[in-house]
Amino acid sequence: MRYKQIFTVLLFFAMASSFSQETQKYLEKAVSSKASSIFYFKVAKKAIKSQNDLAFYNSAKSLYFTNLNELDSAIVYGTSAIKMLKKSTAANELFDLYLDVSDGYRKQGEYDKAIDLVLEGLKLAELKKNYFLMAKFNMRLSLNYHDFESYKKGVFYGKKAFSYIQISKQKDVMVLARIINSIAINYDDWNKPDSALYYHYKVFDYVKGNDTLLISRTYNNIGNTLLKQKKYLEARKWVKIGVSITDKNFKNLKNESELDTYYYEQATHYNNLATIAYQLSEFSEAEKLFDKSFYFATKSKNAEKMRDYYQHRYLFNRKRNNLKETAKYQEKYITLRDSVFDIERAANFAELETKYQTEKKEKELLKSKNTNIQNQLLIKEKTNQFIIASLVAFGFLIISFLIYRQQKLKSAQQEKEFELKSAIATIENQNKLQEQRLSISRDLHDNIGSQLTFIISSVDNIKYAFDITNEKLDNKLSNISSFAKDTIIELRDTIWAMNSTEITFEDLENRINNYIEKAKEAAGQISFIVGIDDALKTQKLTSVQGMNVYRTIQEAVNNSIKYANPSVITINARQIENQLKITIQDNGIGFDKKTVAKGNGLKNMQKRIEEIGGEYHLSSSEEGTRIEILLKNNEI
Amino acid sequence: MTVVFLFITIASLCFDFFKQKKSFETRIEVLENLIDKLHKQQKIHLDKLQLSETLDKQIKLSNHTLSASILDIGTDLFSSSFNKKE
Repeated sequence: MRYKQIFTVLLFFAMASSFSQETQKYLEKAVSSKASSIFYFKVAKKAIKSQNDLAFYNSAKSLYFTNLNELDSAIVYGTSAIKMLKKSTAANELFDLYLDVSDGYRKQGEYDKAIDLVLEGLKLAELKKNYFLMAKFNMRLSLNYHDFESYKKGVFYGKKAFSYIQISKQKDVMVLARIINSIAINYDDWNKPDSALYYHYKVFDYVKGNDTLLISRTYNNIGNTLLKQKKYLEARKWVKIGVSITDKNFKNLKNESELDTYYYEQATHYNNLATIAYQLSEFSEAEKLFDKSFYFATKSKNAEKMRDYYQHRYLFNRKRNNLKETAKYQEKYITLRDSVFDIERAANFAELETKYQTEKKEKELLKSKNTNIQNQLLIKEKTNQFIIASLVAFGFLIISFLIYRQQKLKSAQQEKEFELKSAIATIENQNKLQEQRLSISRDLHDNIGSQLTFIISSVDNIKYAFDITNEKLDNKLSNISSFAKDTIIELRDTIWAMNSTEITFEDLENRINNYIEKAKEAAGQISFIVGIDDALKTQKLTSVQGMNVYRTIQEAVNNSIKYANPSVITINARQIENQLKITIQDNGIGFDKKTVAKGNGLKNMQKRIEEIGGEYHLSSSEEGTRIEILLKNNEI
Repeated sequence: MTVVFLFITIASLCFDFFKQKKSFETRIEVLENLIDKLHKQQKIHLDKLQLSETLDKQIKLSNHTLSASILDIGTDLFSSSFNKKE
């Protein structure tokens, strides 16, 4: 096993270093051989070119001294190699060095240094997530705590090692057996024999057949536990099996390290057999066995074994009531125990472990913090995603609403547009119809004037041609002629209004003036005054309004000429505020409205003005008659 | 990116809406002006038709009076010439 380890380390170094194949062979021989090792080491030392090469050389040296059980030298070279390898990235090689050098410290009783190296190795193994190595380092912790009599922690780390080895992909039955053994011995020394025996027997679940030859300690430990339970005879049987297995293995020992193991195990076996013997009051047998135990403990150079020997030796002497021997061995036991297990070391132990646990917890805390931060970032990301998704959904909602609103507006607009266009079409149709009617009307009325003129000229011709002496006939013919003439004038006025789209006051004034000119022919003594405000001249009236106002003025003037006997007839048109005021006044004799019946003319005047939304006022006295027409501006 | 696109789309739709409204108001104004103009024309036509009806009445009245007068003259002439022949 040891040689395999050495070969693996050397091979790995060979790959990483500049050492030649030949130099590696020298180192192999240096480690394995006893006689020529110094020579081979010298040759290998000359070939050192780099720090890595030196680390490799020191590592080989450490192994060499470990095999010789020269722990001090092994530790020196081992720690030096560890220091150099820590700087390089060759982590795998470090593990074996950590394990071996820590074992060396443990054997020397320097548990604090042993723990320190184990914890360093464990940290590295945890970093690499190598469960097999983590199991091995935890087992070392368990054994160190056992040796330091801190059994609770020993059990704790032992169980940890057991859980790691089970999940490790690398299976090694011997390592598993050693781990279970470490738990068992901790329980055993913790005075929990049932638990100890449980774990001792558990080893046989994994180690079977010829492999049981490799677990002599287990037999011894079972015996040890039974011994504590005072099952001495049964205990003796188990321990003796352990002794015989160890003796059998002695024949196959390869190097000093394995010899060291042999001495260690035999020291334990004989110590237990001696204890059993004196418990069974077989004192002479016990003496012999203790001597053997002392021999092997000394050979093993193991402080723990010496401690156990002194302890049981003084207990044996106490049982024998040999006070002198009891005191002697007790003193040796206490001295050894205190030198190895003093309070300062306990404090260092605790400090180292606390430091390791603190670092581990800090790492976990950091990991937890990172996880928290990641979770927070994830939550934040998800929140942002949710917000964006909400915004997008809201955006789509708004877009849908806007599209709906737009379509609704479009629909309403189209409807309104259609209504308006329909109304326009209807009005246009109506207008066309009206235009057609007007056109027809115009066609019908076109000839009236000429026909009337024909009647007039025909009548005049008849009168002239036939020299009519009949007065009655002549009057009738004259009446027809004058009626026709009047009719023509009337019709022309109406046609004038009909043909005008709108009538301005200026047009009205001109028409009135024309009429007055003709009226003057019949009533030359009357003076006519027409006054239209300049501001009103551009004022427009519709054809109906213009016609009605004109006819009213005409009628008023006619009545004045016929009945009032005036000298002056005044026609005025003014704008007063928002009203249009037209006044027709004469200075005639007037009339009494109450006594004189309203004729068609007066009625028609009122009717015409009221038809166009105006007000008609008639006042008459002896000084004259006054007709006022009021039209509101917004009705024009 | 999606949010920006949505924002642009919303802004574009709002702009289209107001543009459409404005355009419609302009079109409607034109149509309303046209209707107003047609109404005015219609009023003018109605006024003319009213005057035309007045004219028709006047012509009818004149026709009736003249017809009566002519008939009267005709009767007188006939009776006068009949008396002469006898």
